[in-house]
Amino acid sequence: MAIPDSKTIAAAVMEALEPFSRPGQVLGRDTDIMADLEIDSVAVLDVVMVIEDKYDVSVPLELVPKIKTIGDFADQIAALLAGEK
Amino acid sequence: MGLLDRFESVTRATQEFDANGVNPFGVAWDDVLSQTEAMWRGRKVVLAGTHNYLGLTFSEDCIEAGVTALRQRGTGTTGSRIANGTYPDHFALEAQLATWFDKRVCMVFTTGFQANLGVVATLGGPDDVLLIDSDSHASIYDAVKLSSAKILRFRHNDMKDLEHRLERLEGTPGNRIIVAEGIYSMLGDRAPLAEMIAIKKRFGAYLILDEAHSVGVLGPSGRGLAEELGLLDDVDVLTGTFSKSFGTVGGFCVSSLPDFEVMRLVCRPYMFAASLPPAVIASTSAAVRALQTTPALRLRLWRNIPVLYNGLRAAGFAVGPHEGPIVAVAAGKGRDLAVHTWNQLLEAGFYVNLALSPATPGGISLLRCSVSAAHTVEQLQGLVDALTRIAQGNGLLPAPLAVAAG
Ligand SMILES: Cc1ncc(COP(=O)(O)O)c(C=O)c1O
Repeated sequence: MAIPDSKTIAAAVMEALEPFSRPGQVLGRDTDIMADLEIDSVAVLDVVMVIEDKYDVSVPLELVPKIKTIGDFADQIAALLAGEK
Repeated sequence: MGLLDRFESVTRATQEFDANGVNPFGVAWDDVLSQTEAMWRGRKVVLAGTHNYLGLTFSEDCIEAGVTALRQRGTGTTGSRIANGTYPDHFALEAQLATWFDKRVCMVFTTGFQANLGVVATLGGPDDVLLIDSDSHASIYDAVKLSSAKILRFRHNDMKDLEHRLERLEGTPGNRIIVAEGIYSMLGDRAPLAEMIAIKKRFGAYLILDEAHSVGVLGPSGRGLAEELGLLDDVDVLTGTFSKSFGTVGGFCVSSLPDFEVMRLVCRPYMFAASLPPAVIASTSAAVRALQTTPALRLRLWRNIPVLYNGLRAAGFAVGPHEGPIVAVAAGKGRDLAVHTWNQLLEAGFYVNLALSPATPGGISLLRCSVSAAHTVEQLQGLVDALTRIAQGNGLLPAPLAVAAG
């Protein structure tokens, strides 16, 4: 499998976070996950699991606090995939 | 920016609780009358939100042992276990627990929280991987933050997911350490321990098992879930607390790992906190003896559990998947109805715990009830009836169908 780029991953992250968006909100790479969405810290960890499964990669818990925006999230996954393959 | 601005949403929620009734996280008793009753604002309330599973807090033997030790050895040790805080009583309790669990070493900590913090954080070294269940207790979440290991979180009780995460680690260095609980504190459900241990063995991993809620409750002699399944030998480190079945305060771990004794000199929450006062040690020791010699306590608890669990289930509530001393009732996704129901229940004379997201799995609100051997069947039936009536009145449960005349 070719390593997906950050843009493709960001689209998957947006899809997983969609249920937590506010009415009418458009999600983008700059969306701040905790500040802009209706989501708590544990639900974020559950979304991380969904993305981990999708890309068959493990995101260590200690990296999660460094993820602020959807763009950060996608970049982090891309970096992990590049490192692991 | 103010130092506490980050917690603005919590401050706001607290103000809302106060404005709409009693703050569920700010209850204070006027007095505690027994294991199962307290006075609150001038009236008697049934306590069904404690961890007094065996009702030992008012045991004559435990009280007497504590009083004697208090008079003999004073109010506190004023020092940690590695300095002046080890009395003969501390070693005696450790020997008692090590023998009971059939493990080589026992270490007693000042709280169960510190036992988890110390064991998990110290054993997870720089190259290691800690794999924790997503429903883990706060002490385990904090412990992994303190450790230098890589931390992976697997889906609650999902052994396929655990296995998959271990597979992904293939080829990387370090010990794999699985952390799980015998009975989980929020839903009261149990770990699939036999499967977990099979996986652990296949991957050459280690297992730390927190039996905080299962000691005194499960197993032919009350030693917990691992004992119940005959798997105690396969648990590398078992942690527990004195603050539930034993009715005192403190924590412990037992292990037969080679060189485990070194933990006394490398485990910081053990080394740098004052040891438990002699009275607590003496009462705890008496409580261990009570557990060992009075199986009737456990039988009484298990006589009571179905009254609450089956009673609430029959009334139409969604409860956790396993019968046990924690009976968690789902109270919807939002917080308002749960807080309201909790307030009504307290007004009706029953105290239970309220648990809200993010402390709960899946973001649901829970009315977390607990059973004690000391409850009477009438108290528990009273709780079932009161909660059912309240929930039918406020929409948490569908209103009962009118009984057809005739
Ligand atoms: C699963 C679990 N582990 C550990 C603890 C901590 O125990 P203690 O109250 O002794 O600090 C608790 C209790 O809150 C718990 O529920």
